[in-house]
Amino acid sequence: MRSEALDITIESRGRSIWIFLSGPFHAEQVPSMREKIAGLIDDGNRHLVVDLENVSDIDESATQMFLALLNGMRGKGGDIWLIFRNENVSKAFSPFRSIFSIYPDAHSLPSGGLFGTLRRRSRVLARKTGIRLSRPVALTLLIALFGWILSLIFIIHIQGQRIRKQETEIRSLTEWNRATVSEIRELQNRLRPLEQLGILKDTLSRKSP
Amino acid sequence: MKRHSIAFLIHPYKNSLVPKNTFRDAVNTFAQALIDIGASYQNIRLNVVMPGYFLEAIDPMLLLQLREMHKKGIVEWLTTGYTEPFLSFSPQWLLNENLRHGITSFQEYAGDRPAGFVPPFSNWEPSYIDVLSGAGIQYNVVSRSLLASQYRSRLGYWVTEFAGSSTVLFPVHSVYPSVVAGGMESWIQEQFAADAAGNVPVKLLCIDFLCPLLSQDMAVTQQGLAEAAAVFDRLLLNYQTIRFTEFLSSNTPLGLMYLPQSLVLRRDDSDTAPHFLNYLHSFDQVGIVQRKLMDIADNIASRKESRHAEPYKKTLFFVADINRYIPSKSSGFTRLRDRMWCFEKLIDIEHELQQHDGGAGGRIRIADYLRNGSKSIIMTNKNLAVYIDHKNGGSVFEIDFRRRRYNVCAGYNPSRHALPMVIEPGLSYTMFVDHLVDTATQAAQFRAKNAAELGDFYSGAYEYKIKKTDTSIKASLHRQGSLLLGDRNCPLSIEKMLGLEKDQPALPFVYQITNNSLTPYMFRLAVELTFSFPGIGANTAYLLDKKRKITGLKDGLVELPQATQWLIGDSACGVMVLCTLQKPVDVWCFPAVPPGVDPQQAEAVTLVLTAPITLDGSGVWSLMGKLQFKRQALAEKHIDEI
Repeated sequence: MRSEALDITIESRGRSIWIFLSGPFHAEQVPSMREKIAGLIDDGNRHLVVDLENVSDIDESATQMFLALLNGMRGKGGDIWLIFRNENVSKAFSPFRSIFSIYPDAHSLPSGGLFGTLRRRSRVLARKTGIRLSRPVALTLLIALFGWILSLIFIIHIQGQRIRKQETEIRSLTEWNRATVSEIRELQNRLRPLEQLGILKDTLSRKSP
Repeated sequence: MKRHSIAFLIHPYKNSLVPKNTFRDAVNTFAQALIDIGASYQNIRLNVVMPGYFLEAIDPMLLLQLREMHKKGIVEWLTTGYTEPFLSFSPQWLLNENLRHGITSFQEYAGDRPAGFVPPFSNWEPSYIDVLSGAGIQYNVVSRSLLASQYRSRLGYWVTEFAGSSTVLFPVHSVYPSVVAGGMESWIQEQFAADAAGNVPVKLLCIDFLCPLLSQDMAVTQQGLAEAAAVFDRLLLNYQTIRFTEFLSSNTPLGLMYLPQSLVLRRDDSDTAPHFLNYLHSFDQVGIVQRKLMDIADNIASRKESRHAEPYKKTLFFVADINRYIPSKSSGFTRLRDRMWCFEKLIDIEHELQQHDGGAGGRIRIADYLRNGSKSIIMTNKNLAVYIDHKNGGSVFEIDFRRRRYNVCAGYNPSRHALPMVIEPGLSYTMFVDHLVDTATQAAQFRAKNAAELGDFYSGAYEYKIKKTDTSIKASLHRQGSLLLGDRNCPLSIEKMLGLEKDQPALPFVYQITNNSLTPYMFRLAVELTFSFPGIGANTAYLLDKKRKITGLKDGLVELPQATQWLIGDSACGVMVLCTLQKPVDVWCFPAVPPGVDPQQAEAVTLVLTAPITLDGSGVWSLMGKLQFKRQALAEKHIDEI
């Protein structure tokens, strides 16, 4: 029976109601589908996500139905997002691409927060580079990277401490050197008259090359 | 003169579910018997067929010896796949995977690919020729009873063709060890003598030697194998035992033989039932199990990233095993244990897949689950899954209590349906079946199905509406029907609402009956709920009315007058169901068996919520209630069976 060919799955995800449609979507199914979606809107659901990826064939009247539902939903302050990338559905919705919020898959939907943005960015990068990491591998790599950075900071910190200690030591040694030199000079000055009288010999200057 | 040939196919099999340890012991005993024969009779060649999972259970030391036998050319391997798949009941991709897994097991454990394929129960599907060829299968072995009767006595092999693809077929005589004991030599001579055509230089008699692996039969099997090997050894001067591929490489086929889709219901040479699928579709539960399998298989196949679903495939191979479906003394869908085992595995996979998908507050699906052209409404949350057939009286044909992996509606009705259909209204053991009968109807009368049906609600189609909020899902079923009072057809409508709240294991229901005329009506509403429990036969199932515990539910009729609460449970499956009603109704409880069948055989119990109703003109009557599913301690430890 053509009127019963379309499979429907409805579930809640976060604050949205997701509707997955699968099978051929003909004009005969439009009234019952409209009734079901209108019922969901009447139940107070204001954000619907409709996955049409598994719709094998779609009638023009179905797109008109979605237009009418979107109109009604936006009037109530809600929205309907569509998910598909299959050829038949894309062709049917091509005149209305600017009206509907259309996404190629569930992962591309805008999700709030830093993690959502990160997740989206990672998917874009994965698509561009072709490198895909599973969660455990990514987590292991992240932990390794974090550990490496931590050990680097630790080494720098230890080295900094040692440098500071050596600087202090050098400073104290320089001070001591300066004090010793001036003391030697003072002693030399004191001994000079005795040397000039020939009572004492200058052993220091003789040892020095 | 050239010697004629005998292909001796050793076919170990296991029909029923057995604990894994028992199975492992049996397979190892069989492997040892095989090795002993190979060592004792070096001149005979053996063909051995087994599913891949049999090989996995064989001890590595024995496997090593079997590998050596294969290397020396004593043994040729054949397979049925990883398990014994029901080709006609499995999606093609699942069979493909099953075969691939089976071949991988052989390569890994036996050291070589199997050369041939043996469809279990000769379940031949011509459309699968390409799948088999693609998997590298050189030939197929089927029962000779699939051949037209005039060709059954011909000894050799055939080529079969379908849609441009062809493959080799070896027709076999299926033989049990006990049947041929003592008389095998003369039997072989008879078979060669029966093929009088004589236009082939070398004849080939193929013997499918069936070896049951169950412990009590194992001694007979071993003895039978040894006797058969001794006979072949004695006949060696007249007939040589060969491997199938040996014969294939040096002999031409007898001709082209078209085989339609077929199945040999018994593992012997009896004639096939021509419309076996119709036969299987004429009972409730076999269809429901198979459709659940198909639904899950489709779910897994539709996943683009299916890595996480990969482990479930192996479980599906076991559920698609033909032994779970073909009724026999020890296995099949007619056995409660087999049915429950299948449901348990399937509910587990379904639940895991849904958990992986995420989502909260339940899911509602409208899909052609029963594959009969009309939609079923499937409501699920973390704890329950409820399947509604709105076309056939708006009844519930499956309720899965997911915490226990248990379907409380899996009661098997032995009555064959009038037409091949999965659910027959009024006959199938489903829930929320609405009967309208005369107010004077007594429980015994209702039980014996002698109460005249006044309404058309138990089998009529209900219109449906679905409701979904963040926390709940509801299906509202409505039928504008009629009530036969005297000669008059009086308009009456029933609206019943079934729902799931959040992730609670509870199924609230509401009945609202409206009189659409100005004439007052009087009738009795009887809502039938059939619960399937494994402990009904063993008397572990019980009904609790207030503080009164009633056991022996299979023994007869129990009546609970004006009850607002009752509980039914069974420690054998660890499930209890508490029913709470907003207003008192009479409850009748009796074993679910068709009239004339011994109630001691009951595997399910029917509870009828009934009340006499008087509806004034434009009056409304309503009933609210709730079925709460709870776990209870299991009476026995769960044994993992295979």
